[in-house]
Amino acid sequence: MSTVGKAMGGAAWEAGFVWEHFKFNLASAMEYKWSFVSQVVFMVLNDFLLLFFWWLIFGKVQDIGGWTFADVIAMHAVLAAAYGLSVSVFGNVNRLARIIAEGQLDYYLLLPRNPLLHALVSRSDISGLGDAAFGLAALCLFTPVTWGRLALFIAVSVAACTVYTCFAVITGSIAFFIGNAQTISLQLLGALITFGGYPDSIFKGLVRAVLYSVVPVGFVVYLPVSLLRNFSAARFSGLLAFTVAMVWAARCLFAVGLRRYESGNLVSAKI
Amino acid sequence: MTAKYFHVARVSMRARTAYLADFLLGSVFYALILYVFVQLWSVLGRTRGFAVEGFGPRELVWYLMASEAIMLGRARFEQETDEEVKTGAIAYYLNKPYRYVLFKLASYWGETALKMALNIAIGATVALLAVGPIRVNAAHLLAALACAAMALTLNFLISMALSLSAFWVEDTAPFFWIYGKLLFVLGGLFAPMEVYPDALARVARATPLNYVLYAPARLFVQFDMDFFMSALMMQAVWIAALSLLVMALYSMGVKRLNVNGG
Amino acid sequence: MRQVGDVRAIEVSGLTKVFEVREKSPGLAGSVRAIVSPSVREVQAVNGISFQVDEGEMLAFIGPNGAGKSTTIKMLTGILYPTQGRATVLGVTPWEDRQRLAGKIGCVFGQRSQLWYHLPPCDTFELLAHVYDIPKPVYCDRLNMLVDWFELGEFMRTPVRKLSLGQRMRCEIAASLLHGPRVLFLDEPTIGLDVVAKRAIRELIRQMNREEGVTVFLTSHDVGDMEELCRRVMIISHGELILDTSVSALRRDYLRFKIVRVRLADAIDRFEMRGVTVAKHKQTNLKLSVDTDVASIDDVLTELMRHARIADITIADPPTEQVIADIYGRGASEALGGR
Repeated sequence: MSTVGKAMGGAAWEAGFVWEHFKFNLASAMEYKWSFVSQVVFMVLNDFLLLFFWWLIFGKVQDIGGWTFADVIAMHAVLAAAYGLSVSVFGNVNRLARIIAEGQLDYYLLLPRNPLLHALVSRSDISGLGDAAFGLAALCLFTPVTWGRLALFIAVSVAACTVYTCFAVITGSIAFFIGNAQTISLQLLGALITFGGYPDSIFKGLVRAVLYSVVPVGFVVYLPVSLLRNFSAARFSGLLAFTVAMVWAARCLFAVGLRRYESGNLVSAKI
Repeated sequence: MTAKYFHVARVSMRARTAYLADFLLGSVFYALILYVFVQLWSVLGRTRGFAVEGFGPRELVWYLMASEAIMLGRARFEQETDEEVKTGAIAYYLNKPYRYVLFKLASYWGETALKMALNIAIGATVALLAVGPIRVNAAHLLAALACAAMALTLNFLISMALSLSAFWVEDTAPFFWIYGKLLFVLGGLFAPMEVYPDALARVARATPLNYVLYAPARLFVQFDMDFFMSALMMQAVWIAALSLLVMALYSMGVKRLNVNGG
Repeated sequence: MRQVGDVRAIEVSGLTKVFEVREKSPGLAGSVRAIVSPSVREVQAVNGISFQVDEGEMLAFIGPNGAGKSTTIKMLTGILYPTQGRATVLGVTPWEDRQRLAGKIGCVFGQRSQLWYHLPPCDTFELLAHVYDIPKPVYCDRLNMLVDWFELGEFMRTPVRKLSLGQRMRCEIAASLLHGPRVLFLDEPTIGLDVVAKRAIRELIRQMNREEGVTVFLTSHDVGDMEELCRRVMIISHGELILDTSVSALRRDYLRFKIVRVRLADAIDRFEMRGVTVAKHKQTNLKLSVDTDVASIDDVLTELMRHARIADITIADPPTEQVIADIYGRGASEALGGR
């Protein structure tokens, strides 16, 4: 088999694994039906309410530094879809630091699978499905939609989801090196989400540079939105290249960290 | 009689200080939001058509500083209460020499007072550095603080009523999402009622949520004696009404607990 | 057919693990100092241990808390990277080829469940079949066999949270056997179980070893696990192997004390004999601890019968806990003595 073929086969194998876990988590969540339904429905409502503030502002002005109401909605749609996909498929994404620090990685290390991927998919935050649904609905309801735009939206959301997930893995992996890193990891992730809710045209200079590097919200939100506004193959390739680089960086950092993993003796159950 | 509740508040405050480092890190979020809005309001201030009577970019930043101080400063006890109700642990409070709701109120205030003090210090620093001071005199400041104290008590009663619904529903967390979002929309978390369309502002003013965030924050930025008196009166009315509701829910719930055998 | 005994299941030489422990003085100032200039202390958890285990062997690996048991198991299963030394499990270096090894070994950590708490065991089994890439027909056969053996049928569809601890542990072990591992690591498999459940679990482990030739590497606080299951025992203390012998040799060499309880027909005032300590004496009832190097049981009985007629007698080994505590103590003092 060729190297490419092998890589494709490997990717398909891992994708099947992720899918099995997703189905499994879904089944687990459905054990509590009221909780399942309410989590999804309330998250959709929650996200729609977030648009309220922008509705208020755009009642008074035409644009904010070049961003129209439709752009702001596309921004929230991409952010919600990326985040929602990430936490519903890779449900442990925001808790990796704790999983590492508390030695819960043991379980995944004992199984014949990629421990990072396995740890991420072992849980599902069902409310993320609500976020993803909101993203799709908001885009279709409030912005002009064509099949091409829809396909582009899905593509950039998957890329954005990957960037977010990898960023979370990188911040979580800090735990390998300093022990308790849950707070700092959550702060960085929170910063990304916070900035992702406002047009980048209001940020200048150094902060703007930070948003395209240290806290890569530029690649999670701003670049995808600019692609939805007017597509350019160059910027699209830029997004894909950054996504691949993030995957590589996250895997490497995690692998390096794993050598320093210290396990732990916490009593735990899989929930 | 009230001495023991003061003691509860003090203990709750001290328990919080143990997590001071965590809490300070948590306030990074608060500073971040302020920073984002400093940028947003200053861009909007330069945009044609965005003019709010009495509120320039500077006032809007200080308004947010005050409303977020309350929003993020209120102690979050709902999960704890929810669990106590669900596990039946609330029954253990029945034979203790204090009232459950007052006990919770005291520990709420212990934590909230501390968080508010820190939030005000951090928020004022960020706002001062970013947009400079606003004119405010000591008497007005005191009046705004009194209004904030009423607002936080009102928030406690609303949260308590929602928590106690755990006697009847499986999961109360969604209520708190909705409550948070309603505070955001009708409470005027990001912007004062002056920015709202008139019809919506009228609806918002009819809800207690408006007196949790908007009233104290507006008084802080722009004091007005008439508004102060009417706000205080409305807060008192809502507090009285919600106290009755909480008492009713509590006694009904506890009865239910006895029937089901905890 | 696989041949038991021609391959070493586990080979370990000079395995060492050093942990760095960051120390922080209390308070905020201490936290700041810990960030600026962390003070790091090294802790030697495992100190150059070497041993071999044959395929099909059942081996007990025991030691007090913090002796390095878990650290060793974690290195052998690929969870931890060692600081130094070599190890192979079924010919694979665990930390280098973790994923390949994982398909050949099974692990049960008594204090750490691999079952999904809110779901019935059958769902976890199904998921594990995917995780281990077990083909559907193979999985079905295997599952049926394990359900039979472990008598899981009645609660396969009950959510795990509603199972008793004994039922849960049966499921845990069955789950770890699903992919037909050649080596099974059991860490405290009977912790928290009652006597009946303990017996059932031990019987299952024994049966599995007999029928499938699975090598069992067992750590336990419960000396009963060791005595009932294993032929060989290794004792680790302060990160070093202080004893590697057969369980019967352990008994022979370290159990020279016997406990003799007698009920006499007539009360006696006192009983004295070289090599015998009277642990309890209440009129006609006596409890004696006999050092069999100094006095044989025979002699003791003869001496007793000179005093009075014997109505009832039991002779027992002292609790093995006692013996092992003695060995730990000895290991520690020998280590201190500059061995």
